[in-house]
Amino acid sequence: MHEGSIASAPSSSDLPTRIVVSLLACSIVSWQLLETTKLPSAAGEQRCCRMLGCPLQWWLLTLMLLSVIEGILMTLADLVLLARRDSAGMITAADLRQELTLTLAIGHADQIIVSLMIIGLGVSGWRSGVKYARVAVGLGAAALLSRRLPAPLLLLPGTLTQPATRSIRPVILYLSGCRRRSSSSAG
Amino acid sequence: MSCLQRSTRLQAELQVEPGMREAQDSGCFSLRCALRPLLAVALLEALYSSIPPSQLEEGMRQAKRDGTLRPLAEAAGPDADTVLLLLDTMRPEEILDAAQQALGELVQFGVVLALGVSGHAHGLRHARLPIAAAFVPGLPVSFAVVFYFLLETRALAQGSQRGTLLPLHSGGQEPRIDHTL
Repeated sequence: MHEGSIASAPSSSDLPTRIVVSLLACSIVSWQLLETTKLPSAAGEQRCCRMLGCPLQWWLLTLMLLSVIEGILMTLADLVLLARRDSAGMITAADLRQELTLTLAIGHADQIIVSLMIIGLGVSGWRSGVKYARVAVGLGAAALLSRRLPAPLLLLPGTLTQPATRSIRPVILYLSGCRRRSSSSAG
Repeated sequence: MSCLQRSTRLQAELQVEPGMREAQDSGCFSLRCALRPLLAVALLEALYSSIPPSQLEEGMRQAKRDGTLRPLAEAAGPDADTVLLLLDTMRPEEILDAAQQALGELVQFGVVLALGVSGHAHGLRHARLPIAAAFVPGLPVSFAVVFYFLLETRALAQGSQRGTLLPLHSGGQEPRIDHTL
């Protein structure tokens, strides 16, 4: 092995797979885009707009698109990395370091996407008048700004400490809707 | 209360909700039980952020001196040299970052898996697609997470009573379930 070179390259056979994956992801986003644009013309238009579902769906779609762009960027970075291999097919440590930096940056972007999703859900609940939705927005913003509160942690259910009938309540949704529903049920 | 007891209780509670009969057919699946270990992993991820990089640097130096890194690298796979070289080129902050990101991805993956299975059991349309997306290599796992939430949001916006999450838009809707026990 060359000094400062390693053989840990993404194999060329992986790349067609990743390109196909990117295309598939794009087609899923397009399909969801069509589904979203279909909604206002449907019978439930008024309800959709009243419940602010449409802006939230557009927001989530945008985030999905950002995720796809992330994947495409990584594929492109691998293509560049492969193109810069030396004659022996090795990748220099400097190139690998760049790849690593990019991977970490994309990982951060991934976390930001989840945080933005949480903020979006919180804002949607807030605009609908949900009592504790602001807390969700605050937690999402905190996850966006601080490394000490990872976004995946917020995805987990607040129901672990709470008796529940249905077993599924990610914490953000618990904050956005549970209290209000409980109080209205009690009323 | 054990997972089994909770699951039995859940089954009994579901009997009063005709719209959720499908969930009964899905067997013993408690999302709480599924998500609890993920919570531990997420907490571990949060804990990692409190490790000072200098401490990790010292630990890495010590591990190199003792020769304990190589067996670990060899256990990770056949490219032990590559792993060691990679560790050499990484700063302690980057190693912490990478570890945190790996744990975060694991949590997100588990959440999508659990929600997808549960959503499917509750009759949410296309609930298995985000699971498939989570398994696809080269596609960020956040894609699958957002995808699942989009499906839930859409199902709710279309007036469907299906799905497994709380209402994202509770305004103007009658409560579906009484959560107060």
